[in-house]
Amino acid sequence: MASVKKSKMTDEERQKLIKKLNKETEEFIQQKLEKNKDYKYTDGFTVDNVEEICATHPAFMQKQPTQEEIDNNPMLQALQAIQYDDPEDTPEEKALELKKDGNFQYKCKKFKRAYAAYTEALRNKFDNTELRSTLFFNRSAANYQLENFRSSLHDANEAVKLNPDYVKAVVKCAQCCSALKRYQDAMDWSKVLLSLDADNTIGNQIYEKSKNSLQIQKRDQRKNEHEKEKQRQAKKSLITAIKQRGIQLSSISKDAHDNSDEEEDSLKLSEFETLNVSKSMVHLDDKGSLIWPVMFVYPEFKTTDFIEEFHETSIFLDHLSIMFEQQPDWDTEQHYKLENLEVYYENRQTENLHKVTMESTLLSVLKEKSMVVQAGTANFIILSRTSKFYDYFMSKHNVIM
Amino acid sequence: MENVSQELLPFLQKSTRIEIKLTATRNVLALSASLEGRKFMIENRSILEAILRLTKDENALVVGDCYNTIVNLSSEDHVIDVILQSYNVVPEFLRVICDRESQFSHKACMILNNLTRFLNGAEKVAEFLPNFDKDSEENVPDIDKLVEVFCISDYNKHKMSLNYIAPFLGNLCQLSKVRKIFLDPEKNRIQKLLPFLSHTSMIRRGGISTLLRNCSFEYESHEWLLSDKVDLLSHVLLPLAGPEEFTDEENDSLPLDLQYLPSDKTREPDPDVRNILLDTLILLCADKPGRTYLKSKNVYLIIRELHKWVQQNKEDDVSETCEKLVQILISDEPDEGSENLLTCEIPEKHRKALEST
Repeated sequence: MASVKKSKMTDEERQKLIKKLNKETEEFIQQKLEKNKDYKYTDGFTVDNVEEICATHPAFMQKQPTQEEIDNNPMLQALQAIQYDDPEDTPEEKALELKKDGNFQYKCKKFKRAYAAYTEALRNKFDNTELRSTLFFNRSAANYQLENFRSSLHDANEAVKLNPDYVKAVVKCAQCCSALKRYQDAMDWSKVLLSLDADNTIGNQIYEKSKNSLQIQKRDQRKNEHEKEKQRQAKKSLITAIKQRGIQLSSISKDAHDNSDEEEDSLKLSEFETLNVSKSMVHLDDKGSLIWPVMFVYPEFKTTDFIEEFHETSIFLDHLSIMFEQQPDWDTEQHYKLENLEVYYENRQTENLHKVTMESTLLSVLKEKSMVVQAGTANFIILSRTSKFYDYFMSKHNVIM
Repeated sequence: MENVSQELLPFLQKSTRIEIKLTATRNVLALSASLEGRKFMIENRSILEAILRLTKDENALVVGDCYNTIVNLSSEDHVIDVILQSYNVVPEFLRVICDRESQFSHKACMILNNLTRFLNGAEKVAEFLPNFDKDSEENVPDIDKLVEVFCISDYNKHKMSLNYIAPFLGNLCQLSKVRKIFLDPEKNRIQKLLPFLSHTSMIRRGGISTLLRNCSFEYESHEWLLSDKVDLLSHVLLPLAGPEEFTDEENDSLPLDLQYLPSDKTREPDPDVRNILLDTLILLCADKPGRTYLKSKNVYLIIRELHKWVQQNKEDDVSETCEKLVQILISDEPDEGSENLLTCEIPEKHRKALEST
């Protein structure tokens, strides 16, 4: 209304008014200067504070400000509002601005920032499906660069849902599936791609590559299954062999139940798990004989000997004669000579000692009713009858000859 | 029989009352079930013509009878020529196959399969396809349409099986011009059909293997058929492979899809289909590059095990074909000039000896 009135002024009147206003302004400035004679500008840059100001001034900032920094800095708030929060902007315009920002970040290879911008853009509610589809695709591309293939696939898929003819998005879907080793899906997407664009070289490439990779993947699965089957068979025949011989086993961990398909077998794989360092396990040789890991314990010296492969038909004498060909380091009093040695095993439940004759085979001993193989390893105690320790040890145990 | 025809003919009209018409078509159908009846119907065309007309009747039961009658008739060798020469039925049957709503698609497939069993019939039917007839009637499906319809499961709304499209296409491939369409490297027609070698329907497996066998006569296409683009060898070999275990080394020598097959792998159950697949392999061996490729992929290993297996099952036919193939795979390369077994000349004296056996 005011401007309408003014337009009715004559030139003379206007000149008069301008003069008056100029005069008033000058008087006002003069007054102010009089009043603030002693004022000094302190907000400027000085040698001391230049770095500090630069770090917080939007024009010179080195790092992207955090949300907290933005909240505490009016200048940043103002800038943000200019770019994103113009209340005059429709949600679609906001999204478009954010898309531009995202594209710029993407071009600068700042994929995380590009991702953030597209995500922010997608939060806006608008009906333009083409823009929404593009935003999904662009975010997919950023995700792809960040190697978040699953998210990239999801976004590309959304883009295709909104725009089924979106060739670039379909390419991205195929590429993601390929990267995720979902070759069948990659082939399906390539087919979609080739139906949109028959000469698409990327489509052909991905299709051929995925076809081959899928073949290899399937072959490897079958091979893997084969290996497992072989192991199952080996385990089965091992269990049968042990059962047939009537050898008793006691597992290390009672609760470690092997819930495999061998429910009918009372013997579980965990019963072969050994505690020995070499991890050697009882196994069958080509001729169907069992080979056992065997531990010789010398209670007098609190030491042990470990035999990884003790053939079930070998006799104790054979092993011991080789082991005691040379005098062991620990045998300082020279009692442990082959002719003085005696072999026993202990039944953990009864704590009885059972004597083993030197000429017996491992199998004949393992078959004894009082023998229980602990933790997949056959344990034997070796004593020397000439040592003083022998009498002491014997007095502590109930010996069954 | 003359009397029967005289009595039935007036009722085989669209305008006849439905119960009477149906009684008449039932009678004709019964007639077509016997050899004599079929003979009679060919010699006295009026009934045949009436039946062909009634394939477009409004009553589904009447149409069903007519279709069944034609299926019966088309099983007769000399009927095929009569039908194809005198009546323009092929376009309609083709349309019925591709009509999702039709309840007679299955029968139409069977009829066209019957009509194309021999080279003559195949040639006549092919002439109606838009692929070869530029002025064909409107809406007649071409080969691509038939392939498409065949590949879509539950295409027909009445759950008509459409299995017989496979042997129909296989029959059409007796013709070199049809084979050339399937062997167009720019299109993926053959690739779409390969998966049906492991379909549950024997008709489908048999039909597609026939199609592949027939296409393998075109030795110029062997290179493409054996390339990664088609990988025909793996597809043909897989149904012939059993659960036998091979060493790692042996497995590595086989095509990828044949490596480490599971212990529950089963072979193609039908001996005829097995034989057709073996024939296909023999044809692929016809020229040197194909032969070299099959040798390098250790096809011998699979056939050796198949041979053992068919011998146990006492399948002499298949066993013989196995031996023929193995002969090619393990023998030395033929002399220069006769590398192509399909084109090499057979010396006069041998040919006479062969012809006399």
